[in-house]
Amino acid sequence: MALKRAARTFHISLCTSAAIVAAALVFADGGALAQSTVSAPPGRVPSSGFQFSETSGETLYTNVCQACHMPDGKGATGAGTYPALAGNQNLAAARFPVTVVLHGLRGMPPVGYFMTDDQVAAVVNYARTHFGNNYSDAVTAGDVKAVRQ
Amino acid sequence: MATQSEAIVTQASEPVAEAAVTESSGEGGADVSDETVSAYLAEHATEIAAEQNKPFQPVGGMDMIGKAFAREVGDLIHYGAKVVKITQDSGGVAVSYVDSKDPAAIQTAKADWCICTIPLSILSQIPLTVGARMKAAIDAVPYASAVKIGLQFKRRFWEEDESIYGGISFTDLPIRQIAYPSSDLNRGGRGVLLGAYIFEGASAYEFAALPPAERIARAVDFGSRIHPQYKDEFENGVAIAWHRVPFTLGCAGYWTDETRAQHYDDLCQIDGRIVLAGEHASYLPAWQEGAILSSLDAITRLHERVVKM
Repeated sequence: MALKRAARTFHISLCTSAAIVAAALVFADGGALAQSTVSAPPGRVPSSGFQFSETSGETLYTNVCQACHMPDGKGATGAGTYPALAGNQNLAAARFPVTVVLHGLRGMPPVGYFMTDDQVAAVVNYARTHFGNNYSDAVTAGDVKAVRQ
Repeated sequence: MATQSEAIVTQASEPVAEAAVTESSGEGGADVSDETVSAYLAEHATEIAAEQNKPFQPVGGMDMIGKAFAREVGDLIHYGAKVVKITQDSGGVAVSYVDSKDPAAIQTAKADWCICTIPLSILSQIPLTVGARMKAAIDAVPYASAVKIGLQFKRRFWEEDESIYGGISFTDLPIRQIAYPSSDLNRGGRGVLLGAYIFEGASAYEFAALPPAERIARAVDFGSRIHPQYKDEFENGVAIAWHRVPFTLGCAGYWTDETRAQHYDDLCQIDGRIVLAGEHASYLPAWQEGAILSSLDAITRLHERVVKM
């Protein structure tokens, strides 16, 4: 709840000083709006709502996590580092990545806020069974729910 | 009060502008046609925008503020330095850094005091001699995801066709908003829109995970559902996703009510010879204003500390 309140405040403060001369509210009802004459580009379509629309661990990883953790799960280093998931011993205890996804860790945002328990379980299970990881104790939505409290 | 008008985009194949003239323009209150309204808006665009565009905007954009600092104190700035350690003792502060192009050689800068503005996303990974409470605060702040996409068009169709001068269109499409430039109104020729500004929520992460060319293609596709002119007028674009920016690893510190209550004061304390500043050490996250106010506050408190020693 607190995170949602902060998100609303964050949104307002970013818009407060915007110059609003003509403010138009447009709702994506494709049937009524002007149709584009060219077909939509191929590839991944971002979610419309606040929540992630992807369901499988693979699509969640590809569409979300790999922006930072990279397609090969090896992470990246700039002024700081996004940790590798490949060969990361911290994944051995399943509850740890579940906690990180749900509650964040240092700079990592709590992306699980925008996921259901099933989605969190799916993406954690994906990370723990790919990139050279091979943990057989899959987490369930119930496991995620217990940590989300 | 200046004449105000509201453009309401209805769910029709073409936008319909309905203008409510709230203050008499001196024409005796006669009915105004769409053409009259459009012509009026076009003719008075600059003054309408100036009237309603408060605060002022730097000529050339917000980026000019940072550039002005670089111009004034640039000789003090050491670019391309990646900080790897910050230590302090009773005698002073030592900051170890490497040249980002040649990371093998560690160099050290020493001073009596340190004002550290490194984003917490990165600072939380740097060995730092501070107390446990400040360290806990540094570790408590995740960094929010944000994406902006600029799109260049052959003509300023939003002015020429829609009488839109500055402002923002808000949408539930994943791009979240389209913002129109409030400078060079009616100039004619090319123009640039902010074709997406996404912060938090699913699409802020998904756009970050897309290759740059796909972000732009997606923004053009979504935007074309609001402005069909996109398809004919689009020329090129640029996209920034803050989690993909190596020196910030995220857009801004993301505080909650709980973390503010638990950690914010600890974050802002002077710890020995070190004090933090930046948008993350302010109540205006992600704003230059927050960063500047934070710096003024940190410097003021540090000065008092030093003077009283």
